[in-house]
Amino acid sequence: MMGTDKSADQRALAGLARAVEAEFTASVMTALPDTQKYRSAMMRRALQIMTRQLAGGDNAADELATLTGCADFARLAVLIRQRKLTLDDAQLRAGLHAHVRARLAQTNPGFLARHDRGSDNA
Amino acid sequence: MRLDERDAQDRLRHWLAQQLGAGKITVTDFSRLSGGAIQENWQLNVDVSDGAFAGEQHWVLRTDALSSLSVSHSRGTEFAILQAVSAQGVLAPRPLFYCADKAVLGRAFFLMNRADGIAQGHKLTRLGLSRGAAEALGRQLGQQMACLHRLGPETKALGVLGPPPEHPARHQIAVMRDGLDRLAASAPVLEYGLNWLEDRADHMNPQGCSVLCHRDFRTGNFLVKDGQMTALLDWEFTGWSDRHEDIGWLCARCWRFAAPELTVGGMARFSDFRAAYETESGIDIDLFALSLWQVMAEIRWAVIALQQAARNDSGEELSLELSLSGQMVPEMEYHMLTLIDEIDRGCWRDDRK
Repeated sequence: MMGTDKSADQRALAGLARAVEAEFTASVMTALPDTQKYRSAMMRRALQIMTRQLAGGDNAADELATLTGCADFARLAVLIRQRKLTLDDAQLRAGLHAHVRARLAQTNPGFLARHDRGSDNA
Repeated sequence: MRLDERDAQDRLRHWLAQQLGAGKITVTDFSRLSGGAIQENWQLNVDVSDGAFAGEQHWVLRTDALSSLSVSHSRGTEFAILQAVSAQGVLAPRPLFYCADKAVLGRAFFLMNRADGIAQGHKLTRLGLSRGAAEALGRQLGQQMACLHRLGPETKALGVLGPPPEHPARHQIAVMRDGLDRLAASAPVLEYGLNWLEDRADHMNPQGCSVLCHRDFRTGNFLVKDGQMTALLDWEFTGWSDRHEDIGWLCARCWRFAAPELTVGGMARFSDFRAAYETESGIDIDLFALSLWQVMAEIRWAVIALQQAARNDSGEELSLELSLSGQMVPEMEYHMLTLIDEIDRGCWRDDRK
């Protein structure tokens, strides 16, 4: 019986998701009537998020876990609410910022790019 | 019960004929309107043969979605709110009839007049209104919100809402934490924001009173036609709160769509809104309180988005729209952290945009 290689499985899944997204964008979306544009754009967006998450792994969670010493985010949320996290506020805030940016790189990189250009503070 | 089934429409027509005292009702259109993740809105066009409503009528039927948020009002309460705010002069759809009898459509519903205009935020914030038109709209939004905020807990017709919270901000923080607990959501970023607000909650009710807040007054929930707001929609979250909650929600960064440079819902400048609001209400907007309620707005929309995603994830209501709402949470968290940084560093400037 062959052993499992999680990273190889994940790479294969990411490749599969990319292929589905490309096929959907090139062949399906272009054939749909205007009335389906909104729904097909939502489907494309979902496929893009899945592709990026499969390709990117869980780096966003890993870095925050390293900073806070807490890999269980449910536990981390409780510690923050109870103000029991022994971490400087500025450090924690910077860590949370980095965590959010890493998640945005997967869910909506366009949002991140727009805000990095400073459009929000124009 | 599906509303597009023939039996449902027959029962609706029969019920309508009784309400209107009309001999014959012909339904010329009954189709679901887009949007409405929490409630369903159906366009209902009817031809009434006689009586007070004789002629062609363009209405909206509003009812619960198959699954709804526990924090949203019942349709009966929403109908009572619409009656009260319409009497106050707020531009809201005119409520017509309420039906609590589930034998008719399987769920409570009400009918209201259909107002004209566009509501979609992505379209509205790309209209390219002239400076004059944007000023007028900003003033109208300020005047309308102030008109709404004249209603206080002493309003008898709004007794259905119960008493106001002792402290609106602390109450809202507790509601958000409870929402996260019910979802079993791991949300360390939102927890951080709630702690930060809790430390400043004493500044979030500067007048020390509660007023009637729509609590979802934002671009996407009001109709605009020819540059004028024609109706404020979706009164399902309305309740007593600090006035800055509504202002902060309308001015939240997450609700500016294509025009983040315009503080008032991506549609107008804050100065125009503020002048009209303060003139109409006689109350000065407290900018620090506003900035704090903006932070709360980002957290609240994030919690609602998580709740929407959970409805899909549980299999209760499979919906790509609901699922994608959950994927937007990092955007609200980004705005929340950015606002917190700006407020702490004294460089928050949304009042100048």
